[in-house]
Amino acid sequence: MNSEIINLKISITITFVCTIVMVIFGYENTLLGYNADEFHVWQLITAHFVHYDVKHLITNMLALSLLLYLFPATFKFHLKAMVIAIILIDIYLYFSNVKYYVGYSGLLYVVPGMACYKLFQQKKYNHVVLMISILIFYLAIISPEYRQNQFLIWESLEQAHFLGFFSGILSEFTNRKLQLNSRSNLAFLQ
Amino acid sequence: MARLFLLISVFTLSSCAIFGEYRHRHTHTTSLVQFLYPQGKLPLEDKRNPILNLPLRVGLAFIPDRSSKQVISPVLKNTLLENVKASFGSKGYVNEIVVIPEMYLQTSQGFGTLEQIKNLYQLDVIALVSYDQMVNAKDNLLSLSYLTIVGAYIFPGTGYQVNTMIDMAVIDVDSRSILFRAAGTSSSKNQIVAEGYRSQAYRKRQNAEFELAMGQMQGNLIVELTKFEQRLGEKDPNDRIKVKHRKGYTGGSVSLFLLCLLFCMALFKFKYEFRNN
Repeated sequence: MNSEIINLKISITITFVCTIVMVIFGYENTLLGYNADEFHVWQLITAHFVHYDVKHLITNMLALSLLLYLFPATFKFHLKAMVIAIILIDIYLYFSNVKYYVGYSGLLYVVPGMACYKLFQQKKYNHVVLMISILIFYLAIISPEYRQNQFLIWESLEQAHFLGFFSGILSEFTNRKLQLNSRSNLAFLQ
Repeated sequence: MARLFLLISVFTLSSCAIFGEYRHRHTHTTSLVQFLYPQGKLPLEDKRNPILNLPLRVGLAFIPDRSSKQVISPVLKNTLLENVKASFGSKGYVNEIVVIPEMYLQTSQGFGTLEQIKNLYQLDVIALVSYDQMVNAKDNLLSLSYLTIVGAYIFPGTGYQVNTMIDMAVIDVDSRSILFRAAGTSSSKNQIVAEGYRSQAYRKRQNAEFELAMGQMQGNLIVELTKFEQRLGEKDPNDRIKVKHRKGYTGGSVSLFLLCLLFCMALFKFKYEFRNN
């Protein structure tokens, strides 16, 4: 199937899941978001699909669609990267002093992370440097500035974004290793 | 002798009704200023600027009615506070709203009491509801029938009017200042009842008027909350109210800047692909 159609399907599925969660359970469902004071195991998964408000949901979903258009990924690899990101972000949430966390954007960053590793493999180092520079510039300068100028009750968790990006790289790295292993096994059998 | 007895009975039982038009006024007031400064003295401390830790924990209470006769039923008060709670509840910067029982404020007054309540419930701000209700009663010609005693239960000879004003002030206890306020009023036209049912009718009407004023106040509260939200959103450096985010409340989001950047990149890619095809 055409990669663009697959990406469209991924984007629509995730948007649908997040919207359904919002419609059924409401925005600020303290039982679904990661809540350190009232912790439940399911929050480790549901927190990533709950949003503070409609604006929060729309911006995340729009960014996901644009990222998937810019950096196409196969469904299988995207799902794997998402699982790694969920695990890493949850470990961070559990051991940090974060009281409450909701939002998809941590998982959003797996897409550029995967693309970054692919570009690295293709030896397009200029693209990799540009991508990492934009990421650092955004997360270190633009994002905190944006937070200061907005009337938000919460702050953006940059660590989750970095972990999402790192998960994308890690996922692509393991995919590459597995592909190489399977190729060498195939060569050995032949 | 019997006639004299009848005459005395008529005079005594009909009370003042026979001395012409009867006017009466009842007032029930709970004053915010009186509650906050019971001795009328102002504190000597320096005024601090309010600092709000978002999301807020809000306490909601009625200023207790200190008169011996409580007009508004406590059940109604509680229901109305729950309605106000719903108006606050939809706001993202409000984390929790606690309805404070009236008896907690019954015995003592002043900011000291509010501070105790604030610490007890771990609140940031307290919204206090005060009210002023006035009932003006006036007899008409039919009130002459009250002379017959039976007439007092049959003929509607007393007209009355109820005016109610409810005010809600949201107070930052730490800085001892009002953040914003919302008010609601209601006024009923002359209602006419028989003297025998007057007190029942008054109470019923008073409660109904109270409910109406509270409804109007709730509408105004939504407007005031939106204004307050806008004011905080503007982040004016000269604004005396400062906002802080409560530590640990985090989320994953993308800014408008990143969205624009991604959109430009996507547009560029689309154009490139379109040209190549």
